[in-house]
Amino acid sequence: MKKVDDQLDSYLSGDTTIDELPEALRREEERLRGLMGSLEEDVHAPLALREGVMLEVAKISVPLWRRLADWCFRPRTVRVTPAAGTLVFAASAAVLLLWPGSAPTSDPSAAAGASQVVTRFVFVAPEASSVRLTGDFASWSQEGIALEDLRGTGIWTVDVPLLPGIYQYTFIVNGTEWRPDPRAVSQVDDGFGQVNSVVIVSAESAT
Amino acid sequence: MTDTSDGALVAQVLSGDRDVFGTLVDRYQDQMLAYVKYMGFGADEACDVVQDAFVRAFRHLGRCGEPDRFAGWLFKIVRNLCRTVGSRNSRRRSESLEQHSSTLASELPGPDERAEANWAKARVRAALDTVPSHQREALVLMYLQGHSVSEVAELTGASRSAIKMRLKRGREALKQELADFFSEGHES
Repeated sequence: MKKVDDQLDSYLSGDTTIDELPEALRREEERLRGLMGSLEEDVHAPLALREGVMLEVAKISVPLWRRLADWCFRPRTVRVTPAAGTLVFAASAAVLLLWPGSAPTSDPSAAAGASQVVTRFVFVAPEASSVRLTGDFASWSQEGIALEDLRGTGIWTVDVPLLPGIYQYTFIVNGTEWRPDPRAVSQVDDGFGQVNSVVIVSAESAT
Repeated sequence: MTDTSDGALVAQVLSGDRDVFGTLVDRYQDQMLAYVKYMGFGADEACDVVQDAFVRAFRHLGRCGEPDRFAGWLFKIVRNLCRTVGSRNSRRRSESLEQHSSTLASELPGPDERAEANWAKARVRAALDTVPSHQREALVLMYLQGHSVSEVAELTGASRSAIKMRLKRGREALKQELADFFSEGHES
């Protein structure tokens, strides 16, 4: 292999300027810049590109749970007349007092709905201070779903109700480190230089 | 909105305001499109690649670990797509390049027929297309998009020494292909 030219190396590193190059190398560099510069064009994306992106973005559906969460937690202004507000308050109080059995159940499997399957995710990371789960079912949110290390043994778990289907997911360790699940049935390239794990949830799956 | 940082825009999109994503598109579409075109893609195909990259970026925005460096993250998606589409089309491209190279001397319009600048540009374009893609990418990012070696290294995930080696080899390849332009008597 040809020996690396130290002066060119130094120039490419930005340690020296083009004027500090030897005459022949300087002329060669100027010629190269000129030739490459001839390809330069003022590139402007056509309007159709942006429109196409935003059209596709609009088509991407947000999962129902996410929309519900947004609806519940996004601050908004609600205009209510004093009379209507009093009526709603009184009606709510009456329901709570007269029908205590209506309190929501704390059983997560009941809340999940009959068609969902509670799926357990386990990740072993004794060194981790936090582990979160994200994937198709969590819109790949960085916040994801928190796992718990209930016994302090480094075995992090969480149960997630999922509809039957095939999902890609990954774990986020200590808030920044994306790690696939070594126990997953399959791993797929995510196209971003990382690997996603795959879970298959069937109606017969048991947790 | 034009002064808002990428990180703040990404946060707004993630909180549900998807229209804000249009600002990120406006901010980076020209730069990404230029890169894809310089890498040898035709205008229509380049638009498809960039559009696809933005849609993928939106889908996986939660995976953008450093929202303030959205552009670098987006660039990696664009680059991956270029490689995927490029390898898919590699057979077609190599065939057309072989044809292109063999017919270049005889079929390209000469200085007498068209402006010499256009003729030279076509020669450089064809020469760049013959340079291996990693070297071509380094040349494009440095000489056409104005990035330093360190920035190219960060964008491509390669080491600085690897980028310098690619640049040197790319320069040598171009010099060979365009030997007449580098001869002492040639005036550009």
